[in-house]
Amino acid sequence: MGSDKAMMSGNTSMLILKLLSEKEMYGYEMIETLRQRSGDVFELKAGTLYPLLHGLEAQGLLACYEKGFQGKMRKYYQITREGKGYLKKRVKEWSDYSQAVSQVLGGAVYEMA
Amino acid sequence: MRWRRIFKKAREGCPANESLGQKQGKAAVYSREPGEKQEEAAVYSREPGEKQEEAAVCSREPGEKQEEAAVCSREPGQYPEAEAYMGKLKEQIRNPMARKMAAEEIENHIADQACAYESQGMEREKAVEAAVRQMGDPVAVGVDLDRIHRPKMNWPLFGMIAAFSILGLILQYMCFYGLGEELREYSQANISRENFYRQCIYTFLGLGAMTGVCFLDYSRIGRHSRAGGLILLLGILMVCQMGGLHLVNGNRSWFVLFPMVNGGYPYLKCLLYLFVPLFGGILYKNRGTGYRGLVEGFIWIAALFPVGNWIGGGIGGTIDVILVCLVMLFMAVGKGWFKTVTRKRLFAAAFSIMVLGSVAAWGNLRSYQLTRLQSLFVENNREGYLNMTVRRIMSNLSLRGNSTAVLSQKGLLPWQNIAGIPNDFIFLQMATQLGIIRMLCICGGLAALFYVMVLAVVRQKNQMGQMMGLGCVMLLALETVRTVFNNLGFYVASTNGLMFFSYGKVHTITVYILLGVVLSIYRYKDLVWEKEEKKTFKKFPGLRPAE
Repeated sequence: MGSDKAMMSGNTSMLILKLLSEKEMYGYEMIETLRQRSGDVFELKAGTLYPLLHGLEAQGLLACYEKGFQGKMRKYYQITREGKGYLKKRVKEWSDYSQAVSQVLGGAVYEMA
Repeated sequence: MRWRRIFKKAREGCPANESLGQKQGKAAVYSREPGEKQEEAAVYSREPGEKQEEAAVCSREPGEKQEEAAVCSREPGQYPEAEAYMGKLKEQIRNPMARKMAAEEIENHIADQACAYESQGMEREKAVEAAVRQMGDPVAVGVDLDRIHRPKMNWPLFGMIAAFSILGLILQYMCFYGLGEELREYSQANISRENFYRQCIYTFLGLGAMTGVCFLDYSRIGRHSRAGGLILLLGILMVCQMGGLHLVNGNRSWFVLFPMVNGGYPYLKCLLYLFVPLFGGILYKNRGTGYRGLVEGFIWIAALFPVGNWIGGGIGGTIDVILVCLVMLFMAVGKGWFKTVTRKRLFAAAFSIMVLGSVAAWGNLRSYQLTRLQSLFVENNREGYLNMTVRRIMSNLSLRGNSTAVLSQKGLLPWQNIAGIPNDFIFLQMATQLGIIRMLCICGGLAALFYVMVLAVVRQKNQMGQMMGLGCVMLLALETVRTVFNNLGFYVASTNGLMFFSYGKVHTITVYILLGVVLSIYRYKDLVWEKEEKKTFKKFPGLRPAE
């Protein structure tokens, strides 16, 4: 099952922030978690992920720190207070959007958790 | 060779062996496919001291370790796809620090991904190829990262500083140097136009120094903070106590730069300001060291007392630096930099020190210092002449416009009554010429400048940058507030001047250097990253990163 790229690109930051609101992660871990939790639908390319992460960090939505692990440094990302606020706003927008689409299509309406 | 090392480390800490949902510190069991046999699943534990054979097993097949050894002994350049990819990506990132950081992160990602593919049964070369393909276009990634990690000038702050510099010179000329020969007759200060031209040169030198410091990576200053602090304090010792200026080939022309006044070098007092950003670096370097770091902080602060004494002149500037350093030390404790030092213990100790220090200071105050303090509250105090005179002048100022005529009639013109107009009392002098409302506007402008500076450093992600920047801003703010209060008739101790408005070579240039540090901290905000605290490494030696 492939994903709609146009739809994905606008909401990738929301998905990443959601993952990081639950747990601090490093890049590879995010891709794997996203893939697993989406049932292999979202296979994010690392080339897309890292500029996105660095951009979110520059905006102050994420913070990062390096941590030694088995002799190498891993860069872990964590969501900031501003990031949580931004995520909340994006989730609300997405919820309104998906609800509107569902109403048009006439299907069931799902609330975002 | 580099890739061999990266892969070796990746295999040791293969993410395929970590259960993504499990807590750190517990053994994690990862199974790629549902129903996969337990013995095939990789087992990894992060507990320190765990047996070698239990830790870091990445191989799915028995006997694969031998194969790995064979792979690792191959010649460098065996992963041309990965190297070509990284080469293209790195070419796009112009800043060396960003390039190094991004390259390390992405190399680790490729290695992690390749390791995961290997654990699925793919051969090493194929796994690397697949991992590189998965990365996407290296040029696009590099260009994106370059755009994000570019040094950024804080133009609003730079503009405000430049505007205040020009405004300061204009107002100094309008309110003081340009008033004509009449001032020269009355004032004890040297108010020649030559001095104004000198101040113009000092201001432009200061702006140059600020720009230079702004382009310096502040984290380098932080890294060499101990050496910098020692050089600064020992340099002052050499100059002020050991006759160091005489030693420079017997060249007395140095005295033109730092002239001796009343047996001291009060102009050098401003150089102590440079200790504040260095102290921020010292505190940061001591993160995770517990009481040792705290004691070292106190030793540095204690060292400022004799150094301030060696310099001579007023004690006010030294007290400002010491106060700011103490606040920085408390902030460091508040941030949990010295793990075992709790806020409660520190505040108890600090309170005791403050009480004992105040008692000792009160007992050792000189008579003029005591009467100056009394003059804050008691009228008609002979020793409080300064505060009383300033208050009388202030009470005769008009809201808008020039008050010279009124003050002249009452014999209260500042330059006739108070010494040190171009340095210490320039604010009062400007108020007599511009009126209260315009001076309030200037105060509002300075408050806005400090607000922009605080935002620049508080939004800084790196804690060392925050600490260094807040130290600089606090010091400049303390100096400004104290100078303004002195000019309102609440003089307690001397200051080194009012930034942008006071005459002075060392003061002007030092203030601009501190402003340069603040600009540098903003400039490199996306280029300096946090490292893990030392304490963690001490507790878990296995977590120490490779040097």
